Amino acid sequence: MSEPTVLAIETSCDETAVAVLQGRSRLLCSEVASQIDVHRSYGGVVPEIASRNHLAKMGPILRSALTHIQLREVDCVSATRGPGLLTSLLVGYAAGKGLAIGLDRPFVGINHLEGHLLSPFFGEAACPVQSMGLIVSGGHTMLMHLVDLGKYILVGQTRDDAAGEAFDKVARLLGLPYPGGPIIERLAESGDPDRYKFPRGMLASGDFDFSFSGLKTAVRYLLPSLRGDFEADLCASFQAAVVEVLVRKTIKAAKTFKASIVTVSGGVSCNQSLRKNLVEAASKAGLAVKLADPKLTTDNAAMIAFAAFERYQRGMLGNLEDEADPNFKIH
Amino acid sequence: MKTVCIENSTASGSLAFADGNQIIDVFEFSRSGALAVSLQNMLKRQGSPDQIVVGIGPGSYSGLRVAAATALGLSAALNLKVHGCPSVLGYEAPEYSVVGDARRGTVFVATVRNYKLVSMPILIPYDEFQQQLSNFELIYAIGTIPGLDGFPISVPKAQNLVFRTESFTDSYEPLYLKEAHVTGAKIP
Ligand SMILES: Nc1ncnc2c1ncn2[C@@H]1O[C@H](COP(=O)(O)OP(=O)(O)O)[C@@H](O)[C@H]1O
Repeated sequence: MSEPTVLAIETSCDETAVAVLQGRSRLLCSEVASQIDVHRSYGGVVPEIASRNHLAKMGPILRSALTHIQLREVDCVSATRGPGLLTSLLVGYAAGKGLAIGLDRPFVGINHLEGHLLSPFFGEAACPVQSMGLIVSGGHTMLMHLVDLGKYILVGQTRDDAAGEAFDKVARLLGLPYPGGPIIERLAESGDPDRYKFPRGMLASGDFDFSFSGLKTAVRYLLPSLRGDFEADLCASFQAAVVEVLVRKTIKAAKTFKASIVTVSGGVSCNQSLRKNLVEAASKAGLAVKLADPKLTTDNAAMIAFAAFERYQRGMLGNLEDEADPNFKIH
Repeated sequence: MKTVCIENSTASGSLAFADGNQIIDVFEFSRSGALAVSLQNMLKRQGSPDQIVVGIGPGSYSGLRVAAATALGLSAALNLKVHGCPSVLGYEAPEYSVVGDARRGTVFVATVRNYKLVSMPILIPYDEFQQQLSNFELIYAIGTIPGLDGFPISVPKAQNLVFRTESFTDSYEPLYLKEAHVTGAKIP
């Protein structure tokens, strides 16, 4: 018998995404309709516009996804329940319910952060195991102790800006376009990470929380005094400060909570310097590392499908009465 | 032709299942989370429909979007067509006007003659609407409107909407109202 097939819908922010996953690794389709160009002209995501676009795109993207499979092969339907923008979430969540009703299949609502947290395990033969997960995206920076499926303990999180947000804000200070992460990374490649000494926020705080707003402020104060070719060095020094704090706290958290595996997921986990440094530090500490595939890092439905597959396997199903929840808690 | 109709433009939603020109099942609900379960139960009782009709407002954007998206999911699963129909046609009477709070000091007004909209619903400021009250005979309010009382509160129902076939459209997107300033003469 073939492995169960899960269809997932993700509309937590400005991306309309649908994916179909069979088992833990056979991604039958993963479609993302991005609205980034629509929102870029406003300098951020406009919830009302995002919601209108989700509804307009939902029909076509669902139909397109369903050309890849036989409908009756779908065993479970899932959608992101939160966190995110309510007006965006409710479109995908309701579409998922409608689909589940029509197909007469179970429905499961997935926490977007659980999608990220489990994504480093995507494609593996066995289910996710005890580990320390660093989730770093444009909206979140948190250390989550994965004890078991559905059992997550928040170990630490940012007290101000998310790491991705820090990249984006520093990029804006430098007059670079959104999203800033990839551009800063590229500029940093040819820069000297020791040229400017930036603060390592909360490195010695004794807990596992983060703070990146001081770093951003340090960049802002330094900028007016810089002349000539400083961009590459500045980006490299800034990136080094972010990466060092993320890596050291992640390793320390893993040791403290006796997790033998560290994972990293979310948009910022695309960053090669973060990946390389985490791998090196983990190997020195005798820990295994799992990095989310870059394709699964920014908002997509494949990671939602993967989390739904795990829940479906264990009979942890949702119900049709639950509503989309912009503050849906994972822990 | 079996039709399931979803009307969710106000705080009280409804579902209707019609076979030809006969209503064979209705259900009303008042929590938004109840829509999907109610729909599932109705389809368990009545089997699959041949088409879906969804109320497109004017009304609560969230309610309308949930209804439209649910209809889309259902239509993708069962390969059915989704028709939109202005929710304000969901009353039994053939001639009336519907008013609803549209926030920021405005109301929407829709006038129906012979079961059809006279024109697209319009947005007008409270005070303008109040000045023109004498032009209206029967007015239903779809909910309370701050500062305006005395209208019977009455919400559209799926069991009426399902028969307004002449007003079905291919678009299931909510009616997004535009500001419009109208003179008294334009409102019958
Ligand atoms: N290579 C990179 N280095 C650092 N940050 C990155 C990189 N690629 C993307 N980002 C950052 O990741 C964020 C987007 O990730 P995503 O998971 O989509 O976040 P969210 O959905 O919370 O906005 C942005 O802040 C972006 O700058």
